[in-house]
Amino acid sequence: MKKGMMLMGAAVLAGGFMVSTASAHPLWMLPSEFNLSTEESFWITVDATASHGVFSFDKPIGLDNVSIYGPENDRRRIGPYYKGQRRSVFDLEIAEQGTYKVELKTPVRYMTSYVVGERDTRRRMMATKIEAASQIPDDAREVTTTMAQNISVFYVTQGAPSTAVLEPTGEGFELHALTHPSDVVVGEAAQFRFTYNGEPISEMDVEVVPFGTPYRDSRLQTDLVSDADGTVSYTPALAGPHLLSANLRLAQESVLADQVGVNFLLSFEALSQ
Amino acid sequence: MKRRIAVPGVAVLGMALMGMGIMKSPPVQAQPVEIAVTIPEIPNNAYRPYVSVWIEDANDDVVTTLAVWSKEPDWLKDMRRWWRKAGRYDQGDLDSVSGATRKPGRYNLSWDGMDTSGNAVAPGTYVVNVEAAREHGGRSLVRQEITLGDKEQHLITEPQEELGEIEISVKSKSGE
Repeated sequence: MKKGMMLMGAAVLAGGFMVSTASAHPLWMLPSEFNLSTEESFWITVDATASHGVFSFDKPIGLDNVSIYGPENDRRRIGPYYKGQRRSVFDLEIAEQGTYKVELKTPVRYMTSYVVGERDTRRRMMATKIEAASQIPDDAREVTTTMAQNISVFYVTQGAPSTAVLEPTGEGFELHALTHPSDVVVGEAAQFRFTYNGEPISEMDVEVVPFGTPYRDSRLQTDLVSDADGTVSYTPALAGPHLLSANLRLAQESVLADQVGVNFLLSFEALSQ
Repeated sequence: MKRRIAVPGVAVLGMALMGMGIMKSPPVQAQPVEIAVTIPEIPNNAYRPYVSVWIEDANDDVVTTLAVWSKEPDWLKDMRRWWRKAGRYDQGDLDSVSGATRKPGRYNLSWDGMDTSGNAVAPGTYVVNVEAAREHGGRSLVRQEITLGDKEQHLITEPQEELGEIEISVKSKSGE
């Protein structure tokens, strides 16, 4: 598993310029349905794009990094997919009762930034600490290498919600859905907790925006900060899709990097009262 | 809260009689509730609405579902509150209250004050819920509080887009 991810990472890095451009944008996914009452197997369709807007299309993305987990937390296959000019689309068969998890996790990238010259020009390169050491100028200052990753996730439930796909593993950046994502209700406080390698992430900025920003005056963004336990609480005012985004910057010294950077996006539906 | 306070005299007397071995089983009976649901006639829309009728307690927890009128399971979720709170947790117990969609008209339902496991509920505040969702139409949800204790009540709710007025009668206990 780990090895496979590393190999994929290498392949994507080799992909070069386009990938780094796309990954500068948050990667969101929006399914046609978050909750189903079908008794038989049912196909949902998902939009995926790299964009700074909330559920607005900008750039298509590669779907190699999408993983689908069934209600037993077992891997499932992606259905038909398409990559357009502005978005990617994939279909997904929901065959069983319970909660599925769909996760888009980019391979880890290393980015080294530094300032150089009399005018403190900031420069960046895609390089680990080791790679950068031989490439950056001798007079480079404020050299910082970030191990960066984008994670985008949503949950879709057929029938009653189940919890196997919500179980944290204690590895990397993780969402602990204290409120089940299929149980977020208008007017009721929903709680989400965040950890890195099992440790709570406190004082992290988290923002939540409901669908439809182009069609209203206010963005209706709610800014939250995680508490000492890594938890935020959000009470939706509108029904419909919401995009939660969290940005982690965590000092963590390793051979390859000085800090960890994670951009995390959760798409969820706030259900009617 | 309220339902802890209201202990009607009759029930207390019943319990006392029971203790003396005069009365047999404990018929801690709630007041029967009659609910008349009206499905409105909507011009230029022949689709019949999906309708569900259920009872919640003062904590918004579901007590029992009285009726589900539907066709395809795919659209049960459009009765959004009912699906979220009751429908998706169905363990087969909804079969007996499920039926076909209905034409516009007035339909009479009743609640015997029992929960899904067949136990009589305690006196107190309950909420009658009626939710309707229609293809090429909208969704309406009516929630009307009632109090089960010893008083009769007669309530009529405002008509909504997908629901005509709902008439709710909390009757006196049978035999009184």
